Amino acid sequence: MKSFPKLLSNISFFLAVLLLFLCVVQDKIALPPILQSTGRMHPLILHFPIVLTIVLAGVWFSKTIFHLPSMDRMFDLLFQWTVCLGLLSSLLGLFLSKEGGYDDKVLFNHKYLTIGFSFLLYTLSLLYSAGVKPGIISTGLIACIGLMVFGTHFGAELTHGAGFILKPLEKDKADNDSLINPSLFAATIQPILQSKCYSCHNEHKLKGGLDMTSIEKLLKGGDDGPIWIAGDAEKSLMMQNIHLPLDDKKHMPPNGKNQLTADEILLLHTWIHLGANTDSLLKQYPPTDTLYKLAIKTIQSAKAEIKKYSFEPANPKLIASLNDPFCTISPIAQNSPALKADFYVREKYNPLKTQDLIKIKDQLVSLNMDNMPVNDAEAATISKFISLEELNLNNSSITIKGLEELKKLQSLRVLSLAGVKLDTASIRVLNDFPSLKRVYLWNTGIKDSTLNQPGNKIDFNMGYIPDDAEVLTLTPPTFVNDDAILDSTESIIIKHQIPGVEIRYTINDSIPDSTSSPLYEKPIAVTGYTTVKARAVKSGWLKSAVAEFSAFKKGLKPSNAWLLSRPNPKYQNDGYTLINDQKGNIGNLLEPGWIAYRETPMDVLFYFDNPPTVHRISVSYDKSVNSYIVPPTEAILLAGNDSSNLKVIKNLKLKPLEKSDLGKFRNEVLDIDFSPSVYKYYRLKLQNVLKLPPFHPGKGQPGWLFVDEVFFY
Amino acid sequence: MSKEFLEHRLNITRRHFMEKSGLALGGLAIGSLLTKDLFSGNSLESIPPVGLPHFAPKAKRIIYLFQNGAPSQLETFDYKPKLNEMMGQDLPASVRMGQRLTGMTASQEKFPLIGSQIKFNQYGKSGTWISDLFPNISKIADDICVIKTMNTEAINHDPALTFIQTGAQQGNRPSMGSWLSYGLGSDNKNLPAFCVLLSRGKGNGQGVYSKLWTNGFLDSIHQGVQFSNSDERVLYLNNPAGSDRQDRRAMLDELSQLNAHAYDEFKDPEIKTKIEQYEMAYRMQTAVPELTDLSKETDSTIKMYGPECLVPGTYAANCLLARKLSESGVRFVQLYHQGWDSHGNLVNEMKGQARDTDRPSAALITDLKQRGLLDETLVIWGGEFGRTNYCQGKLDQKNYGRDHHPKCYSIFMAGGGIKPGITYGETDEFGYNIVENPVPINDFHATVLQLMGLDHEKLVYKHLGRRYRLTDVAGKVVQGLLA
Amino acid sequence: MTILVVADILSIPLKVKDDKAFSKNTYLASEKSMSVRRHYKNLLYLFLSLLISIGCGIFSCKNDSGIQEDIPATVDYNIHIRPILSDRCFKCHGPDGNKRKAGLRLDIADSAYAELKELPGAFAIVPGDIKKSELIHRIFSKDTSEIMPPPESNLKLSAYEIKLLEKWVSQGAVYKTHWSLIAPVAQPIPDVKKSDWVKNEIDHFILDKMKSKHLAPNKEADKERLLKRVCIDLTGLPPSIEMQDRFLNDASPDAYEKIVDELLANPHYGEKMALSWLDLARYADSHGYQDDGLRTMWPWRDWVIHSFNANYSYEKFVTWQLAGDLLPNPSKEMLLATGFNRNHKITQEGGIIDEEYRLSYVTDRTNTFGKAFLAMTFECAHCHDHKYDPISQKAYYSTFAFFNQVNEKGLVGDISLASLADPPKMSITSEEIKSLMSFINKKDTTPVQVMVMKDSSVVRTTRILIRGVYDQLGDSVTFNTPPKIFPFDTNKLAKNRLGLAQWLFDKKHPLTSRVYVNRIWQEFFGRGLVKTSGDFGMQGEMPTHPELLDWLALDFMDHGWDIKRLVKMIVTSATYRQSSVISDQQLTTDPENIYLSRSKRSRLTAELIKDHIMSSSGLLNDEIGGPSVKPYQPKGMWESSTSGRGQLARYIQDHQQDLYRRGMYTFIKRTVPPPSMLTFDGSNRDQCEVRRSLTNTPLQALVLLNDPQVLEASRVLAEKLSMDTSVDGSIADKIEKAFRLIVCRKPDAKEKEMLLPFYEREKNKLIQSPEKVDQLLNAGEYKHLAVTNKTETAALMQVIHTIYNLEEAVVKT
Repeated sequence: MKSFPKLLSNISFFLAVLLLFLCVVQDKIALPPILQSTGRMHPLILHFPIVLTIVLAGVWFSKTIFHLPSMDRMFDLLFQWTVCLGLLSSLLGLFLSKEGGYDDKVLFNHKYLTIGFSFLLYTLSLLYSAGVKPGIISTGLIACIGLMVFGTHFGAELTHGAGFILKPLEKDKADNDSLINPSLFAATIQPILQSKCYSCHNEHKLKGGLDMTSIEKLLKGGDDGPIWIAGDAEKSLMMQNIHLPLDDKKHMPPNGKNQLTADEILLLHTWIHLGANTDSLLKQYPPTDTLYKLAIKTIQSAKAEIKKYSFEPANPKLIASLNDPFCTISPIAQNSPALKADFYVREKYNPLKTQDLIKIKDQLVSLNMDNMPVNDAEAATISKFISLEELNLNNSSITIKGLEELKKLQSLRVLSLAGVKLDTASIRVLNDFPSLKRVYLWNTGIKDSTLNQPGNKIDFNMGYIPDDAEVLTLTPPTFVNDDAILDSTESIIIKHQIPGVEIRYTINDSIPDSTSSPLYEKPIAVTGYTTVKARAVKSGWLKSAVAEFSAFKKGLKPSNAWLLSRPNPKYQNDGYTLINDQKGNIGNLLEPGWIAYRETPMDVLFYFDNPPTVHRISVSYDKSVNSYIVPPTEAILLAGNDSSNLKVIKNLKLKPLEKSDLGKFRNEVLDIDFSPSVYKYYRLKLQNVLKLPPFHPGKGQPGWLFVDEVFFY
Repeated sequence: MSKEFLEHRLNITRRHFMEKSGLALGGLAIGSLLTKDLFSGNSLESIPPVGLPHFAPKAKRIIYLFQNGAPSQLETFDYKPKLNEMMGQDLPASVRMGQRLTGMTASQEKFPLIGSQIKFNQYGKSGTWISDLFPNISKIADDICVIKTMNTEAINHDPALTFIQTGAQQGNRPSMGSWLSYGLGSDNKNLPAFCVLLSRGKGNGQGVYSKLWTNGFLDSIHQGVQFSNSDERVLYLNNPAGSDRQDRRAMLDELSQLNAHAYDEFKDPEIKTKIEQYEMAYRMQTAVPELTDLSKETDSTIKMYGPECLVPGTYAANCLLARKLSESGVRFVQLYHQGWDSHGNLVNEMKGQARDTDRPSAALITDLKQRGLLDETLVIWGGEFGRTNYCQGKLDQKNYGRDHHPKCYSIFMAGGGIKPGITYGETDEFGYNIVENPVPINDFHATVLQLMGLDHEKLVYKHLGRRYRLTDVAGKVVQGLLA
Repeated sequence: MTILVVADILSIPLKVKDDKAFSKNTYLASEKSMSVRRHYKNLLYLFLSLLISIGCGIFSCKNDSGIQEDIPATVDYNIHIRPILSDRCFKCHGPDGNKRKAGLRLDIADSAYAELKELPGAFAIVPGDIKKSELIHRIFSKDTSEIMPPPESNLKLSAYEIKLLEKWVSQGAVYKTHWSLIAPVAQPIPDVKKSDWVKNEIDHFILDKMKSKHLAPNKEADKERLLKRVCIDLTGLPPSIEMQDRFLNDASPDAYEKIVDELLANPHYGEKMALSWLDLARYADSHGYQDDGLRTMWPWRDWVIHSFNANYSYEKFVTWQLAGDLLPNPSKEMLLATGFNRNHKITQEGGIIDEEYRLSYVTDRTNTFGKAFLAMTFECAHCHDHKYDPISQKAYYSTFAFFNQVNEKGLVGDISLASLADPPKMSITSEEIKSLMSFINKKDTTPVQVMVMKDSSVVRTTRILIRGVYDQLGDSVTFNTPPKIFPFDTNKLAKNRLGLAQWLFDKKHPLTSRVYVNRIWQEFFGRGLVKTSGDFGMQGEMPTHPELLDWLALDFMDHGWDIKRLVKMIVTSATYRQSSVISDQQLTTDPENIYLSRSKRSRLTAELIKDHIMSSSGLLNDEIGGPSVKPYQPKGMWESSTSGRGQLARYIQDHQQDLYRRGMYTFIKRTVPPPSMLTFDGSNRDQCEVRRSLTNTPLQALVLLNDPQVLEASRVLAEKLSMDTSVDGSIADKIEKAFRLIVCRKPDAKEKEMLLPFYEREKNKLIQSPEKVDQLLNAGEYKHLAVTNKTETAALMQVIHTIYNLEEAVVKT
C-alpha cells in the first residue's frame, strides 16, 4: 500500500529523466518502430492529466482554503498520478511527433508548452514533498493549468485542424446563406474564382491590386478599375483577359496556373452578360433559363468529380494479403477507400477466393468475374458485398436463383449477364433490383425485344442480333506449308478455320469450280513444280475467292555453284543462292535470293562431289511482263565430269513472249528434261530477251531475267 | 529526423523495387499493395504512387485501332461538297497559307482540288456524316465521337507516327502504352499490360517499327509485347516439342529448389525475384492460350466480325483478339493496320482498306458494348495525319491520289468516358484548315490520360536529369470530348 | 556527456528530497529511513532510462550510416544544395532566360543575392540572414499563392531539404562551381589500416569511405566465382574447365594476376570492350526509319574491336573517330574510324524534306558528342537554353557547327534505289585489307562500302534553329563549345572537328577523363562512381567517391589515356575481388551497394547471355568481326512489320557456322531489333546510350526456357557429354562437368543431391513416353552425334537445360 505511491514517484522520476534526455537529443535520434507505435497511444493518455490537473487544483485549493488534512493522503496520491500521467503523455507525444506530417509551428508550441507543463508539475511535486510554502504550490498549479490550457489547445489544432473550436460557428454561418439556399453566385461563380483566381488575388497578395475574395472587393476591382461591366461580357476586363491567347502576358489565369475549363468560361460569360447578379438565389431561376442550366451543369460536374464514399478504407495489408495472381484487388484510385476486384484465368478460379472477399465487403464497389464459372452458391456470397455498384458475371453459370440472391445488393447499378443461360422469367427478378440501371443480356437466350419500353427504369442491352438476310463471303482457304520447297515426305496441306466448309481445288491451272472440282480430303502429294488453286464453299455463305500456292519438290543438292557471267550489280548474289532451297519473293525483287541478268545471259556451273542420277533440271524464274521481267528465250545445258570439257546435252528454244502475256505477274518454271545420267558438272546457259516485242511498252529494249532457284531431279 | 529517414528509405526501396524486381508484367500494381503507408505525404518526389490512377478513371483499358499510313479524312468523316463543286480548280493560296509540302508534291506547280468520289450520308440521332466506305461503322454512329480537328506537326510518316505514339517526333521516348503500363500497371498479373497486334491491307504500306511500342527509358517490363501471327502468339511462349506442362512444372520445381539453395548462400533478393519471375512465366503459359483460342467463339460473333476473324494476322482476327485481351484486363491493346498511304489510286486502295477494317472495327465496339465493357474501355480509331484536299499527280477522277496533310484530320473514339454521338471540331469548307476546336496531339494524349484517371502533368519519369511526360511540355485536356 | 547532464539535473531534487524529508509530514517522513536505498533505486531507474535512451541513440546511429544523413555541420553547395535547387528551382529560376520567372535566377550568386525585381526591398537570399531571405520565407510558407515551388509545378521540397536550405543560407549561402566543371585536382591517397585487405590505390579510397559508413568489406570471392567474374568482364566468355582447373591449382600469390594478363591479351577482350561502345555509337546494320534498308558499317565495328585489342590510347581512339579525316594525310584506317559520326539513322522515306533530315543527322552527332564524351545532356539545349546546365542555345549551335560541315543529303535515294552507304563514303578493297587493315573480316571479293566523315571545302554557316525547328533560322554562330564547360581557345585550336578533339583532350579539361573513367567503372561494378553516367550536369547525381573519381581521372591522363592499364587496375583491386554475399546489415544500410562493401551479382547483358550459352555448350563460332549474321528468330517478326520494300523485308535466316557467332554480331535491324535481345534490355541502337538497365521480366524466363538456341545448346552439350570419354562413364560426372561448364564452378554436395535424382526422374519419364526422346533431341540445326543411348542423352539434356536456367548460370557472381 505504502509502496505504491513510491513506485509511482519512481516511475515519474524515470519518465522525467527519459523525457529530458529525449528533449535534449531528439534531433539526433530516430525511434525504434516499437516506440513509434507506443507513441500513437498519446491521444489515449493525454486526457487523464488534463482532467486530473483540474481536479488536483480543485482538491488543493479546497484543501488549503478549508484546511482539510484528511484530504492529504488522497491529494498526495492524486498528485503522484497526475505527475506520472502528465510525464507519460508528454513522452508519448514526443514519440508521436517524430512520425511527422504536422504543421511545424503548431507542433512546436504544443510540444514545448505541454512538456513545460509536465516538468513544472513534476518540479512542483518535488517541491511539495520538499515542503515549500503552499503559496508556491498554488501559483505553480495555476501556472500549470495555464500552460495546459494553451498547450492542449494547440494539440487540438494539430488533430482537428486550425480554429477547430470556432469551426462549428463559421459552418453555421455558411449554412445559412449559401449551402441551404445558395445564390447562383455563391453556388457557382464564387467556387470558380476561389479555385482559379484567389491564389493571386486575395488580401495577402493583391496582384494588379485586385482582391476577389469578397463581393465588395470584387465589385471594387483592381488597379485598372472594375473587372466586369454587368451586361457586357465582351467589354469586361476579366473576360477579355481570359480570352487572350495562353502565352499572352495578360492572359488569365497566367500560363502555368490552373486554367479555366470551357464550361466555366461559358458560365462566367453568360453570367456577366445577364447582369452579373450576385444576390438572386439559384432556385429563383426558371429551370429553362440558360444560365440556370449552365450553373446546374457545373455544380453536377463538380459533384461527379468528387464521388465520396462514407465507409472507411480497408487495411492496405489486408488488401495486399487478398491479392493473388488470379484475383487483383486495388483501390479505384489513390486515396479512395473504394475497392475493385477482378478475377482472371477461368481454369484457376477458386470459389474460396470469393468467400475471402467478405473481408472487404464494405469497400468493394466493383466486382469483375467475367468468364468465371460462378454459380448460385457464390451468388449468395456476392449478395453480401453491400457496397457493390458494378458486377460482371458474363458467361457464368448462375441461374434465376442466383439473381434472387443478388437482389439484396442495394446499390448495384450495372449488371453484366452476357452469355448466361437465362429465360424471360428472370426479367421480372431483375426489375425488382432496388437501384439497377443497366443490364447486359446478350446471348442469354432471352430474345424478348419488347423489354425496352420508354419509362422503363432499367436499360436492357440485348446486343448484336445477326441479320439472317445478310450473306457473307467465305475467306479463301489457307495453305499450311510455310515453305514453297517441300522435301520428299511433304505434301500440300490446305485448311479452313470455319467448321463445315468444303474445299474444292485444281492442280491444272484451271479455276476450281464449287461443285465439279475435286474435293480436298487429304494432303496433295507433289511430283514436280505444282500450282494448287483452291476455294472454300459452304451453304449459307458465298463461295470464297481462289487461293493459289505453288510448291517445288526439293531436288538433289549440288555441292556448289559458280556464276560464269556477271549478273546485274544491283541484283548480285553468289551462285549458292541458286541452290540454297530459298525461294525468292516475287513481291520484292530487292530481296536476296534473286539473281538478275539484263546485259549478259545467265551462265552458271553446278558441281556435285558424288554425282547422283539426274533426269531433269527445273529453273524457277519471275514473269512480271509489265516490269520488263520476262522468261528466257533459249536454254543450253552442258554436262560432263571435267569442267574444262563439257558437252551440250540439251538445247531448248523457248516460245517467244505473246501479247496475252502482258500483265502477267507470277512465278514460272522451266523444266529441262533429258535421259537420266550421272555427271559431276552441269553448266546452264539462259538467254534473256534481247529486244522486247513491239506490243510491249519497252519494245526494242532488253528484258530482265530474274532467277531465284535451280532444282535437280 | 526519423521521418526523413523513413521517406528516404522508402524511396530507396521503391527505386530498388522498380529497378530490380520489376516483377509483375506491366510492373504490377505496386500502388495497390503499398498505397498509403509507402507513398503518402510529401515524399521526396511528388510523383504519385505508380500503379494507381490519380483519380477515379472513366476508362480502365484502351484499344487503339491504329490506321497506319494516314486514311484520307475527305473520303471518310470530313464531308466537303465544296471540293466537288470546285473540282480541278487550284487550291487558293489564301487557304494554303504557305503550308509546307512534302518532297512528293513540292515540285507540283498546280494543286487541283478534288472532292471525294465516295458518297456521304448522315447517320444516327446525331446525324454524323460518314462515307459509304463504312456501312457498319455508320450503324453505330451514336456510339462514336468523331474528331475532325486532329492536327500534328510532322509531315512524314516516321516522325508523325513516332509523335502520336510517343509524344515526340524524334528520340527514343516511351510509347503511350508503356506510359500507361508504368502509370497503372497490369490488372491481370498473368498477361503483359501492353500488347501489340499487327496486320496489313492491300493498300500502299508504310511499315511499323518496334520503336512505336518501345519502353524508351522506362523499365523493359513496360515494353509492348508483340503478338505474332504464327501459332506461337507470344514469343517463346510454347514449350518445346517433347516437354509438356507436367515436364515444365517438374523442371520449375527443381529450379526453384536449386535457386532457393543459392539464396541461402548469397541472401540476394534478386534470386527470389528470379524464382517469382519463372512462376509468372509459367502462369502466362496458362493464360495466353485460353485467350488466343478462337474456336469457342459463337457463330454470331464470327458473323459480327466477319469470317476473316478466324484467320490469324488479319485485322478482323486482331480486333477479336483485342477484345479478348482487353476483356482479360490488358491495359493497352495496340493494333496497327498498314496500307492507308494512298498517294495514287486512292479510291480503290481505300475501298480495299475499308473492306478490311469497317466490319471488324464496328463489331469490336458492338461486342464490347453488349458485354458491358464499352463503358470502361476506350476505343480509338485513326491514323497519324490527314491527306491533302488537292490531287497528287495529274487529276483523274477515277484514279487520283492525295499527299500528306498535317493541319487537320479525322479520327473517332468510343466508350470509356468519351461523349458518344457527337462530331467535335470543324474545318473550313476546303477541309484544309481548322476553324473551330483544334485537337493537337499533346491535347489528345492529355485527354486520353485523363480518361484513364491520370493527370498528364503528374505522370512523370525522371531520366538523365529531366522529368519526362507523354505530353512533354504541352497538352491540355479537351473537356468537350468528355461525357 | 549526456549522462552527466542527466545526472546533474537529477542530483538537485535528490538532495532536496533527502535533506528535507526529515521535517516532512507523516507519510513522506516515514520514508526517511529508506532514503538511502531509494538513492540506489533512483540510480537503478536512471540507469534503466539511460539504457532506453542510448538504445534509441544507437538505433539512430545505425540509420545514419548509409541511408539518412543528419543535417551536416557545414552545408556544401555542390553536395547538398545544388541538387535541390537544380531539381526544384532552376526550371523557372535557372539559366534558361526565356522561361525565367520573376526575373530571378538562383544558379548564380550575384543575381540570387540581388534585390528582387518584382518585390522591391526584398532579397531572395541574404547570406547569413534567414529572416531577410525571401527564399526561406517562401519554402516555409503555407500560403499556396506564396509557397515555393508552386503547387502547380508538382514539385515539392522535403522537410529535410528545407532544413538544408535554411542552414545553408544561415551559413552564408556560399555558391561554388558545379563539381564536374572544376578540373580534377590531385587527391592524397587516404591511409587506411587493414592493409591486409587493400590491393591497390582504389581500395584505399573505397575502404576509407566504407569505414566512415560503418561498413566492412567482404572477403575475397572464392576462386571459381572470381574467375567467372573476371573472364566475363574481360572477354565476355566463361572460363573453360581447363582454365578453371589451372587457376584452382595455381597456389602462387600472383595466380590471379596471371589470369588477368592472359585475358587482357585475349582477342575477345576487344569484343567485350567494343560492346558498350557500339551502344554509345548507336551502331546498327540498317539505316533506320520506316523502310530501314541495309547498310554496311560493320568494317567500322571491326576497327573498334581492333583498337581495343591493340590498346589504342583513349585519346587516339576518340580523336580518330571524331576527326580521323582531318589528321595530316590520313590513312584509310583513320578515315574508317570516322564512321562513328555516320552511324546515326538515315531516312529513305520518299518525299521527305531534305534539309529537315540533314539537320536531324547533325543534331544526332552533336547530342551524341555531348553525351558520349562530356556526359552533358546537350539535347536539352536544342530548342532553348539548357534549363539546368551552362549550355546556352547559342553554345549548342556553336558546337553543332563542327558537325554541320559534312557534304551530305537528308535523302540520297528512297528505298527502291537504296544504297548500302550514303556519301560521303569510301570503299575498301580486299587488297587494302590484306595490306593495311587485316583486322577487317571481309569474306567475299567485292569491295565493301563504308560511310565516313568528309567536310565540304566551303564552310557552311551554321545558324541557330529557333525552337529547334529546321526552317526557323536565327542568328548565325561560329565554331565554339560551351565556354562554362571549358573554353575553346581559337588561337590554339583549329576551327574544325580536329580542334574539337584536341579541346577534348586538353589535360585541364574537367570532363573527358572523368566521364570515361566513370563509364569503365560502371562496366565492372554495374554502377558508376557517378550513377548517372550520361549526365554529369547539375541534374545528375553527385559522385559517391569524388576523391577516387578525381584520382582515377588524373591517373588515367598521366598514364597516356592507357585503357588496358586502367582496366587492369580495376580488376586487380580488392574492391573488385570481393565476394557478393550480402549480410542483412549491408542489405538494410546499403541496398544499392553504393559503398562497395561487397561485389554485386548482376545478370549478363543480352549479347553475353547468348555467348555464355553457346560457349559453354561448345557451339560458339568465335570468329571475330565481319558482316552481321541472322541466327534463329521467331517467324514473321520482320515480315509483319515491314513496309514490304527493301532488302530487309523478309528475315532470311543464316545456317551452319553463322548460327553460332557471338551475340554482338547478331544483325540489328533498327525497326525490328532481335527480339530476344530486346527482352534482355539490349539497345535498339536508335540513339546514343551509355547505360543499359538490367530488368527482370517473365519474358526473359520464357526465352531461356524455350528459345531454340538454348535448347540446341543443351542438346549438343548433352550429346557431347554422352560421347565424352574423358570423364568416366558415370552420369554424376557428366552432370558435374556440365555444371562446371555452365555455372563455372563445381556443384556442392546439396546441388549434386538434387540434380542426380532429377536426372533419374526425367529418364524414367522418357522411358514411359519414348516418343518424346526424338522430339527433344530434334532441337537445332547443329549436326547430331551418333549417341548410343538416346533416352539418357535426352534426360541429360533436360538436366542441362535446367542448369542453364539456374539464376547463377547467367549472372556474374
